[in-house]
Amino acid sequence: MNHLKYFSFIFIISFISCEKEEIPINPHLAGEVIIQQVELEKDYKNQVFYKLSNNSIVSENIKTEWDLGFINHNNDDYIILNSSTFMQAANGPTDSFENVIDINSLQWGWDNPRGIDFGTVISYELDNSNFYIIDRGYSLNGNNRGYKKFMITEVTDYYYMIRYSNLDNSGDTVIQINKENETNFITYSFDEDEKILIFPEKGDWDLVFTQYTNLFSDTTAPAYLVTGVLTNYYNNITVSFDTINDFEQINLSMIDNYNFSNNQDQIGYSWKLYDLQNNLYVINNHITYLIKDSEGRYFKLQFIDFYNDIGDKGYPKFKIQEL
Amino acid sequence: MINKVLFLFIIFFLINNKLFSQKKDSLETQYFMETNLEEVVITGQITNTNLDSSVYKVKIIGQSILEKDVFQTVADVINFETNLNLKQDNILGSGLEIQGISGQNVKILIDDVPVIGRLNGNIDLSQILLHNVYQIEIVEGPLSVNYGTDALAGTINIITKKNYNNKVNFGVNNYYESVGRYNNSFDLVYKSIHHQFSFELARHFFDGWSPNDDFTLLPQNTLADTNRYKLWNPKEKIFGKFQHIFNREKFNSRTYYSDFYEKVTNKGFPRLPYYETAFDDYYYTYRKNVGTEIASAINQCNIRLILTNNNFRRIKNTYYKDLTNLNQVLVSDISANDTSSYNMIMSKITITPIDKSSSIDYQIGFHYNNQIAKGQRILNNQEVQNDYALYSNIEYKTGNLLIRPGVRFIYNDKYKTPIIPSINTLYNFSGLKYRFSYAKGFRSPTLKELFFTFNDINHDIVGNAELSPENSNNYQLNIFFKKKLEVYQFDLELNSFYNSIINKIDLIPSLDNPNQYKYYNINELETMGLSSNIKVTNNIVIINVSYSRIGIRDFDYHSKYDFSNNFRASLLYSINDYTSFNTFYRFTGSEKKYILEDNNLNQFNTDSYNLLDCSLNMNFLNKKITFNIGVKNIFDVEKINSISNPSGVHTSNNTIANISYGRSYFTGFNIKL
Repeated sequence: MNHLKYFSFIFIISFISCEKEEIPINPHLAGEVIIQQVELEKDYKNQVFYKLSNNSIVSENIKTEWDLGFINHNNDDYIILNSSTFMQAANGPTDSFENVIDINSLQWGWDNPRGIDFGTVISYELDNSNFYIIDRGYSLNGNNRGYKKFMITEVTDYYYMIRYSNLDNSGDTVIQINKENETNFITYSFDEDEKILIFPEKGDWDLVFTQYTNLFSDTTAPAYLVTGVLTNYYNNITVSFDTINDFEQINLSMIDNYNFSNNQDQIGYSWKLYDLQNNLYVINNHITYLIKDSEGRYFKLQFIDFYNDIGDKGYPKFKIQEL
Repeated sequence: MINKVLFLFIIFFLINNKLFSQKKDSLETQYFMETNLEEVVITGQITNTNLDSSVYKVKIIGQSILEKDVFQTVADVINFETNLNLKQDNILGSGLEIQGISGQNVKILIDDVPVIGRLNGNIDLSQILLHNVYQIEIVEGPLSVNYGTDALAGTINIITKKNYNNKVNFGVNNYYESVGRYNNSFDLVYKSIHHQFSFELARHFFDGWSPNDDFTLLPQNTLADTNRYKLWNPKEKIFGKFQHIFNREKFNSRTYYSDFYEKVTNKGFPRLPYYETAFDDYYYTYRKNVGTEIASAINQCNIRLILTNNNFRRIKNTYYKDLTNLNQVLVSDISANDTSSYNMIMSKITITPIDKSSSIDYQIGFHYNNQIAKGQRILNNQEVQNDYALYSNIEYKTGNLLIRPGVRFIYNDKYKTPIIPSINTLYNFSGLKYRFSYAKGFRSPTLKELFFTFNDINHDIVGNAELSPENSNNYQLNIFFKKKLEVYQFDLELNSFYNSIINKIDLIPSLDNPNQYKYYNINELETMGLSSNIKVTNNIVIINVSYSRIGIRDFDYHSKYDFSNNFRASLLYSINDYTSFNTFYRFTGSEKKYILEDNNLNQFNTDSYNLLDCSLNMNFLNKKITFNIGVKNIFDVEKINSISNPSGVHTSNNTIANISYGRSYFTGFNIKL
C-alpha cells in the first residue's frame, strides 16, 4: 500500500518537525601576549600609526611633514593644527589680511588634545572675514618653522577654500581643498604648498604614537609638548584604564566595570614619569589601559619601557593582549 | 478570561438555509465544473445571493482553487488576485493593498465577524489558515454601511466550512515544502439530525530561511554562528476550534470557540567583535474567539443575531543570549518587551422581513461594538471605545434594474462619526450586466492613533484624541458579460474605480512640539484604476486571465497619478477524473516610489517580477485520498529593488524588498473519510 507509506512519510516528517535547540559555539580564545616597540626615535621625530586587531604599524611619517588637518566630513568644517610641532595660532589683530603684523602682541591658542569637540583654535563662521596668524612650531632640531597668515574663505559640504601667505605677504596662495578620501583629516603642508597624505584611512588605525601639545591649567606654561599616544577617537576608539588589577588578571568578564572614554588623549603621556634625580624616564607600570576598537574588540595594553636596547629614549615598548 | 464572556450566544444561518431561498439561476448540467454551483455570495447581502445577481461586484475564491492544496494560508491565495497586492514583513507578517489603498482600510472578516489585532494597520493574513475555509469572498470598494469602520478599500470575508455530508467525517491533511514548511491539520465532525459537532486542530511550522541555508528534510540542530539569523523567520502556528451547529426548520444556531497561537523567532545576528552574543526577539500572538450566531424566522421576519468576543494578545520578548553557553537573560529595556492586547465584544442583529410578493427586500441591522486596548504604549495603559450603529439596506427591483440604497448611522463615544450612505445598482441590458455603485466609507481612528504614547531616548510619539475618522468616496462601474456555448462558458468583466480618501491619518512632527511625532488628519489619497477579467470554463479547463492598472495620487509624494500594472492568470486543467494540473501566475509591475534623501524627494522605480506556482493534484478511492505535488515560485524570485516600507516613503537607503524564499517544492497528502 504505497499510498499509506507516502502518507505516513509526510505525516511523520511534518508532525515531528519543530524548532531545534542550537549548538553553542566555542568561546573565542584570548589573544597571545605580544611585545611591541615603536620607534619615535630620540628626537621624537616620527608619528607612528598602529592597528590593534593585527598588532601592526600601519604607517609612519616625520612629524614636520604637515601643518594643517581639514576634517573630511561633509557636514563639518573643523581645522586642526599639527600639535606635534607645538603649532599655535592667533586671531589676526587687524581688519586687513595684508596689514603688517606685530608677532609679539598676539594672543596664542592651541587645539584641545581631547578632541575637536573640546575646542580648536581655528574656527570658521559664515560671516567670518577674520584671519589667523599661525606659528608653525619647531623643526626637528628645535628651530622655529616660521609664521603664516591664514584665512578660510569658504566651506561647503565638498571642499574648503583657504588663503595663506607669509607675514610679509609673499607667497599669497588661494587653494581649494576637496573632501575626497576616507581619512579623518586631509592634511596640508605649507612647505609643499599642497595636500599631503598623513593619516591612514579612518578604519585602518587605532592609535598614533606621537608628540602632541598638551594643555595645562598652569598659566605660565599653559601648553607644553609631550610624548605619548593619541587615539582614533573619530572612529570611536575608546579607552579605560585599571591601576588596581595586574595586567595578567584583567579579563573580558571584568569589562563592564570600566568606564570607557572617547577622549583622544585618554592614554596620553602619563604612563611614564620623568625621574628628575636620575634624569631618566621611568614607566608607571601600575597602569593597564583597556582599549575597545571600532569592531568592539577589547585589548589590554601596558607600557614596559621607553628606551631601546642601546639606551636611547623615544622607543615606547609595551605588551598587548586581546581579551 | 474567556469564561467571563460566556453569556455570549447567537444565531446562525449561513449554511444550507431553507429560510432564505438562494436566488440561484437554474444550475447548469455536468458540462460545467462545480465552480459554478458554489458561487453563492454571503458578504453584504440581504439574503444569500447567486454571484451573478449580486448587486455588488464580488470575487469568490472557492473550493476549486482551495482544494488544490497549493495554498496554505489566506495570504498565499490572495497573492494571486487582481487589484490585490500583498506586502511581506519579516516580523509583522503580510499586509494587503486593495485598489492601491493599504491594509488599514481593508476589513477582514471570518464568517462576518471582524478579525482584530492590527499591527502597523494590517491584519496578518498568514495567520488565517486555509484548511477549514470553504470560500473567500472579496468585495472591492466600501461596505461601510454593513460592516462599519475599516471597510473602506475593500472587504475580505472568509467563510468557513460548515456543511458536511456524512454522519462522521474525519480528515487529515499533511503538507511538506522543501524550504522547511511542515503543516498538519486534523478535523473530526459528528452529525446527527439536528446537531453537528466539529473539532479541528492544525499546526503550521516553518523552520526559517536564509539564502545560504542548506536543504535538510527535517530541521537540524545548528551551530549558533552567523547562520542563525534568518531572512524569513521561523514561525510556529497552532490553531484549534470547536463548533456546535444546531439546525431546526425555523431555528439555526452555531456556537464556536477557537484558539490561535503563533510564535515568531527572530534570532539576532551574532554581535561584533566575537560573534558570541546576540539579541533574540520572540513574538507571541494569541487569538481567542468565542461566539454564537442564531438565525430564526419569527412573524415573517428573518432575524439573525451574532454575539462574539474576540481577544488578541501579542507579546514581544527580547533576550540577550550568550551563544557560547546558550544562557539568555530578558532585556530590561522597556522597548524590548511589550505586551499589547485588544478585546472586542460585538453584537449584531439583522432583521429581514420576508415578503415574496413584494419587489422590495430590505434589512435593518443594529451593531454594537466594544473595544478595549491594553498595553504599555497606550495612554493610561487601557482605553475603551464603544460604537453603536443602526443601518439599513433596501433592495428594489424593477424590470432589469436592481437598486440598492443603504445608510448607516453611528454613535461612537470617542470621536465624531459621519453618516454613511451607499447606493448600488445592477442593470441588465441585452446580455450585459452593468453595476454602478457609489459608497462612502470610513475608517475610525484606531485606539493606537488616539491614545498611543511611546517615549524613550529615540522616540516621542503620541496619539491625538482629537482625530476624526478618515472618509472616502468610492465610485465603481462594472460591466459583466457571460456567454454560454455548448461546451464553453465565457465570462468577461470590465471594472473601473475611483477612490478618494480625505482626512487620512498620518504620523507627522507635532504642530506644538517639533521634537514629538503625533497623528493628524492631514493627508489625502486618490486612487483610480481599471481591471479586466476573462474566464473560460469547460468541462476540463478553467482559465482565468486578468489585468489591472492602478494609479495613486496623494498629498505628500505622488503629486500626479503614478500607475502600476498587474497581470494574473490561472489554469485549472483536469487531465482525467483523478488528476488535475493547476498553475497560478502573477506579474507585478514596476511602481514609482519616493525616497527622502538629504531633504530631496527622489523618485525611483521598483522592479517588476513574476511569480509562478504549479501543482499536480491526484485523487484516489473516490476522492478519499488526495495527493499533491508541485513547485512554488518557479522563477526563483527572492528580492527586488523596492522600498520595504508599505507606506511608500522611507528616509533610509533600505531599498530591497524581500518577496519570497525562492523556488521550493511541495507535496501534500490528505485523507478524508
